[in-house]
Amino acid sequence: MITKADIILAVVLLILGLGSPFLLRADAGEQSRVIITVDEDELGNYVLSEDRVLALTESGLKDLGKNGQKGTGGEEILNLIVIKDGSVRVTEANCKGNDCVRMGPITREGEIIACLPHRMLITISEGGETPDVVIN
Amino acid sequence: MAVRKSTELTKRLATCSALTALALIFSYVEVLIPFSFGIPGIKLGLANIVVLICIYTLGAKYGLLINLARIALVALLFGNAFSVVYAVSGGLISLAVMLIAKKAGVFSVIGVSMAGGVFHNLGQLLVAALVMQTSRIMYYFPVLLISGMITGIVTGFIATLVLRALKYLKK
Repeated sequence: MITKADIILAVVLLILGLGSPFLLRADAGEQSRVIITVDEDELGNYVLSEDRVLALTESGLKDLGKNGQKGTGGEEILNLIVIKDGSVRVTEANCKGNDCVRMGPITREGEIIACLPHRMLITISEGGETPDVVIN
Repeated sequence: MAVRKSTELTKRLATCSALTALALIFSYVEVLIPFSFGIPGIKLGLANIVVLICIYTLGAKYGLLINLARIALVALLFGNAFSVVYAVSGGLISLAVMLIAKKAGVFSVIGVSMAGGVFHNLGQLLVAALVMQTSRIMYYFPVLLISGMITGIVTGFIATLVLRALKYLKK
């Protein structure tokens, strides 16, 4: 009922299916955006290809400029986010775990850095238009 | 001779009509009871059983006709403008791949059906990527590929049983 060719086909398809996520992973392009949200409120949306240092403080997200030369005005920094050479990373965090710092940089679309103590998410997303409607 | 030929044609017409009706009923059953397993975009594809039986008993031409008739009827009865585009792309790519696989001669009905199931989903996914103008949807490909394999194997197995009962396949 089942031939050898069937089994070979099944194995090839399985390998393709399980391997394609790695082949399809898109490198972030020129248009990629860095989106920073706290409690699902979008606080910032920046271009990934432009260097920038951002500080998350109690009062919100502050842009510290290209090299972080600007200060926060004395406010405590909860997370220090650095966008550099097409990657995003958290370099400092005032929590105990520092998981977000240890995650290192993210560079690809769809990657996420999460900071649970401050309920913050950093996502790299595809730039440009989003679909108007998704049909089931 | 002429009489026999017209009898043969009438017989084929009747068989095709019955198979089209059966395919339509299978599609209707899936509209009523979606076997979606909680994952969007996944269907069992019961109508594929009919298409398989058709290409194995009547041939490629009739498989195409029955499939197109089924898609047109389903679109008129339950569909909308978008569902037609998806149904046609999935249906035609799947049929083409199944015919090639059948012609290769090395695959069983189950293997042919499995290839058809995978390419049905792939065809729909490509159209979805075109319609929505995003390639990100291709991330869904692994899910649809594996589900297409599973549903293809299930429908291929059922078709095998039917074709054996019809004595088109040896045990």
